[in-house]
Amino acid sequence: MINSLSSIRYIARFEAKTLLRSRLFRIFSALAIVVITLSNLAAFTSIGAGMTAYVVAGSVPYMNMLFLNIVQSVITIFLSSDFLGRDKKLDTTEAFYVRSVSNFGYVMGKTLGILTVFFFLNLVILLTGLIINIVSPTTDLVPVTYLIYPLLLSLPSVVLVLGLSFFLMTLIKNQAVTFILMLGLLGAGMFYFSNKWYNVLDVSGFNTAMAYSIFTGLSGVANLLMVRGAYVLLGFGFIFFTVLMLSRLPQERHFRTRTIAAMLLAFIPAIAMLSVFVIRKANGETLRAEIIKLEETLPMQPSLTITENHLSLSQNGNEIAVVSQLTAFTESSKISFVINQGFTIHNIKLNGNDVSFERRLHIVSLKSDDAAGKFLQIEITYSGKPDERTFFPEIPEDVRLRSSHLNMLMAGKEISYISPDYILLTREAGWYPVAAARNYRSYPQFTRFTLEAEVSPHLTVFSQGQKEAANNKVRFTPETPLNALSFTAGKYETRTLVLDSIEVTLAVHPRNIKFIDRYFTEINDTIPVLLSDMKGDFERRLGYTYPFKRFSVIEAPIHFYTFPRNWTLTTDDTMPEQLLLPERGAAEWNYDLKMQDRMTGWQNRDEGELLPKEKQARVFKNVVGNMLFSASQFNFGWNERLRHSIFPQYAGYLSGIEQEGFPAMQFIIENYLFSRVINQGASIFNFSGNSEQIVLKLKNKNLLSLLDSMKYDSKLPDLVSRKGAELFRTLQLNVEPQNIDDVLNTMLAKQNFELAPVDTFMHRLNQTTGNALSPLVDNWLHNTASAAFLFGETRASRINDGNRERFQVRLQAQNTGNGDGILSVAVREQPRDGDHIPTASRRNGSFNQKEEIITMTVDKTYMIRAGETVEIGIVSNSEPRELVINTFVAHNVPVSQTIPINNIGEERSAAFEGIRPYSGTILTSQPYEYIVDNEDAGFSIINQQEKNTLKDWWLLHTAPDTGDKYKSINDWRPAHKWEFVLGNYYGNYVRSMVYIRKGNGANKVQWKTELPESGNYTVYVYLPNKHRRWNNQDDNDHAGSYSYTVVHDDGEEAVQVKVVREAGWHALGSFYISKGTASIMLSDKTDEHIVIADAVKWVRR
Amino acid sequence: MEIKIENLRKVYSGGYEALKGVNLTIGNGMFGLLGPNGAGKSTLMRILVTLMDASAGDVFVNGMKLTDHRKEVRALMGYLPQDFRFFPKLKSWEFLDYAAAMAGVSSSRERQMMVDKMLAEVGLYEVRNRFANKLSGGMKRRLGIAQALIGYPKIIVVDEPTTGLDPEERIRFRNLLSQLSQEDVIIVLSTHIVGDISSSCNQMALLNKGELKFAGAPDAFIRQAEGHVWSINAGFEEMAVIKEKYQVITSIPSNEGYSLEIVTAGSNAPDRNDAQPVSPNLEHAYVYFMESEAND
Repeated sequence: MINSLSSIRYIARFEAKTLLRSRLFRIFSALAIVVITLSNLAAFTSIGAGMTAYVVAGSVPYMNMLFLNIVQSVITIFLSSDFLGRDKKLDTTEAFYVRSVSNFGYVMGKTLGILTVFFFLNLVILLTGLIINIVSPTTDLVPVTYLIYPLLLSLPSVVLVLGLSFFLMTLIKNQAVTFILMLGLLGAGMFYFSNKWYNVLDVSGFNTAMAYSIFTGLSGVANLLMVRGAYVLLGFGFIFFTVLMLSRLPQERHFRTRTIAAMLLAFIPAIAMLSVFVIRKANGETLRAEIIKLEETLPMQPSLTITENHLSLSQNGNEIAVVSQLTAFTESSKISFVINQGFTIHNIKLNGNDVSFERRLHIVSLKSDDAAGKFLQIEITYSGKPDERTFFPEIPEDVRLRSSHLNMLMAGKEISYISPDYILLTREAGWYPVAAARNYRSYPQFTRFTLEAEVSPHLTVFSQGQKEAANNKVRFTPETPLNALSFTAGKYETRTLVLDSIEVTLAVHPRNIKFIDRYFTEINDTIPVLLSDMKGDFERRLGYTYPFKRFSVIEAPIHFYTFPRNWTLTTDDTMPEQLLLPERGAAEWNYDLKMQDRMTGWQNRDEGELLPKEKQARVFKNVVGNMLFSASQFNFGWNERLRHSIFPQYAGYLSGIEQEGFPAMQFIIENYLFSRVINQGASIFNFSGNSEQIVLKLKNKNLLSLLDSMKYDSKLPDLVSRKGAELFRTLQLNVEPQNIDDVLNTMLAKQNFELAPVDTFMHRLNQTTGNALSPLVDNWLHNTASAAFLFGETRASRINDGNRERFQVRLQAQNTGNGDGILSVAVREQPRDGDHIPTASRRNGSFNQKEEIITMTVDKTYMIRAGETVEIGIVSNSEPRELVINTFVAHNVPVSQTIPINNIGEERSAAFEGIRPYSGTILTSQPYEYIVDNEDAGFSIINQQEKNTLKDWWLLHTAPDTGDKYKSINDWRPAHKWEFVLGNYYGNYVRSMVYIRKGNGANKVQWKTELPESGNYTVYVYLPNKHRRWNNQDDNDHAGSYSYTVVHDDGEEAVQVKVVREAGWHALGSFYISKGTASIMLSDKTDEHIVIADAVKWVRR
Repeated sequence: MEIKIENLRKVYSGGYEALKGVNLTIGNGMFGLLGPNGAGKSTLMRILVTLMDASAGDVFVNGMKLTDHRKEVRALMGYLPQDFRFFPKLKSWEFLDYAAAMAGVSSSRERQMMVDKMLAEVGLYEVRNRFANKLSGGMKRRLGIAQALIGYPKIIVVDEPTTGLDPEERIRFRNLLSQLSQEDVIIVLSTHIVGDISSSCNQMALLNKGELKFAGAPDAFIRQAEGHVWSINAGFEEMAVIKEKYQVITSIPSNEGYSLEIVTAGSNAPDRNDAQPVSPNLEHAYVYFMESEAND
């Protein structure tokens, strides 16, 4: 008889030995080691193309453990099902079953054996990573992460997967089924259940934020411990279940009772922990809903105007204690302000006397009968830390849950910090009192702040204003009233320079400064010049100068994340005078110094070797330009593009316009100002995928009602900016453009650091525009009618303008809608002979790229009233290639379309520029033509086979259903059912097509029309420009064909049409067709990768 | 050592009754369990080694009820299953080392000596570093025997141990077992090779169709067949008739025909002039027994 511990040890040892020798394990481990080593080399060293997540502290063990998790899960599943399977059939096992070992000891021994082997595999992987971590100069070696990731990521996954596969194998008793089920579960956890139920099923850890911040460590440690700890317990629970079900007679006394007890001891706390986690998250949801509800009961306008706020803050471990002395004017006897409900309010004094107050969530109210119409002194003493669940209550939960990916790795979404070593408080943290009102978040008041802070002496502190240190305290005195105040304290190393009398500071963690310095060894003297150039260029376009005395870029924890809001382009990532940038640029490609350094080398290789100084200057300009002065829309998508821009310093933190309801005016002005700094050309293209949906939404609805119904809809900013663009374009048609800008600049200058009521603002504008504005704005807000444009022929011709040869382009357009509308037109010109177009410059969206050589005329806006038909004339200097038309909010989609110009004729008449009435009519078809487009009633999808394979089913169930009719072509996974796509396709108002991936001919569409008379008809199909795949693959050499079927009097005729590159009509042949219904079909059978169905026509001969 | 089996019954879930109330006492020494296929030998052995529970009845080992003292009984046990072929990826010595460890030998030095000795005894010392699953069929069998014997078990249960062994190995195996049986050890051996029992067992039992038909010393069993075994000579043409009439045990061909040993079920001598009574051995006794069972 041996004691159970040593028997566990023996079993474990021999299990480990056999496992180490098994071929499966060896192959998988070797594969894991090779793959992980190679990917480490690729991601973290200069050998590979790199992965920007290398900047995350601990990224090496984090990534390696993630990778390994997949491999070892697969091995575990296979092994455990194999182990139980083997035990069932082999007599060898029985020889050991008769030994005096408890069933518990037997299973635990096996488990321990497997875990031991994995321990060594983990060790090997970690050591490999460690070597790369040490060798690679751009990765940070954080020793503790070499403990955190194996324990938090690897261990729980292995134990749970092991337990679960034991469990399934015991239940199902079939190795293959267990294997498939477990792999399915694992895959589902990674893909299908990602972002569902707060990621509680994310066993492999791919969707769980586990990045490590050198400022603050892991994000949500308690939650991580709870969930990952629960996995370990669950795993052991399942293992105990296996002990219970082991097909061997037990020898322990009270075996069932004891094993069930052990099982429950594992399962109950595990389920409790997971429940607590989920309930807490759900409570957060409820709490945020309550906050929104409460805010909606508040009066629209605050009765309190806080003019001064003198804050004194001291840190006490994980909390702060604050005394806030307010000077405020109140219009009513009821005084309400907001302080985050995480803080405990100890005391409120009104004009020196203690007063009682009421608190509901974050709203604090008190009454003072004789206060109305007076200035008050209010002193509030409070302490604690903000409740993180209350931030950004209006953000939809799915957006909130969306992971913050850093390549493969994931960071948390944290907004404020108070810990002994690090404090970060932005406006959203509600750490200082502000006046309460329904829209207090969208109209923050401008207040004169002072801040006196006492924190532990080894921390560097940042806030707004002039900084002075005295007696362990730091005092900040901003020069102007501010609508946001932040407070940051942490271990920082700072670099400061003075630029145009503005103090520019870079503050980064002392460990990280070396990662920046290494790229800018030569350009210390040049940096001010480079910055000054970029700033100057930005301000020239914007029209006014930086309003503050200083600007700091402060490194924030990698988890720092603030949500974009529906009413502003400003996020909490910037605060007045500050940019809070997550650690080392948050793995953002554009900010990646290593990558930019290399890219700069590549891009300029044809210019020969760059001098180090020159190269560094370019890297600096690329990175800082992209970050602060970016004038492109493409960086992060519509809402994200300004996350780190300097622009809010010139707008959101400089002024505000207050109006009842949605702050449309403020947002429109912000958008307009931003459009000034956007590159010319970029403004006319709108790649924001939401534009079309916005236009479709606007049909027969006015802006006001939409603002209300889409209050929290993430598409709202697109709506407002599109409508805003329309308003300003209309305005420019009535007032000279230069005037509008002058007026606006003067106006904004008047209300710097002040929140102006919308009436005041409009009054001022009206005065300077001769009352042109008000009716326009009114109409713009309330009008439900909209334009719909029909375009006629486009003609281009050469004209002689003196000695120069120029080009005349004419476009006929008719507004068939029920409202007036505007459109803008620009001509894209052919590059002149000899113009060299370097490939790199073709890429849009990056700052400081060379100018596009293909030039475009400045787009001009034209108003076409309802029912009017016009001719628009444009004169260009180079040969015109195509017209680029933007229809703003008219019914036309897509909002931007191009019309190619194919023939250029000769013309003697004088050049015509502008717009004039056109007497002809615009025909969409000739009288003898019968056209059916895919948007017409005659078009139908006659067979929609959705599920052919398991993969189809999977795609159908995993593809997010956005509820939008129009999708975009997905090259990786082309649609498995017919889908509508907008673009440069045939159509009068809605230019769309329908496409599907290639198939066996089972999926079909049909065009039908009523032919009024019998006769010979030539049948045509319209094929748009051939869709270019992302990699341009099979673009030139290979041309497949589409399979059409024409129904005619003698039956049906199958016709193959070869797909060509240029758009146009293709004849299928001539057929005799009797009067009545005629039809043409198209199936998905093709050797192209997709089939496109657009328009067809029958032409009477 | 004493194993006492009381009224042991086993009914499988399909309703098949494998043991129909077996009563048996096994004392020290080698105990042979004989019986045709399906007699219930393996069932009885699997119950003995705690791999299976009986449906009714009890087994006592040294007075300890088996169902209540599995832990203690298992600590005394060495077992060689019938179909012992599939080994994990372990070397021969490692496999024995594992078995010794599981048998409770905790000192690794002691274990090593024990393993080496055992390897030598079963003639596997030369291949001690070979993986067990790479051994030949006979070697695997010997390794199986070794793992059952290692660690001084007090009860050794071996199910068909000599299948697949060549005669030399079989003799070595018998000697190994009889060495052990000198001590305070019970060796239960189930076999259909009668020679295994006759040469080494001091006790035996015979099972048929789940019932115990005989228990006692092999001599007593043999005595039952006295007067029922005969030697006769038969011509070629007679063979068919004789085979129909008697159970033929041996047939040695000669010029005139065959020299035969036959067993008669009844008490009468065969109706032949040349019939000579033969003093029966265990094999004869077994055949006689099976023959008389069939005629009942």
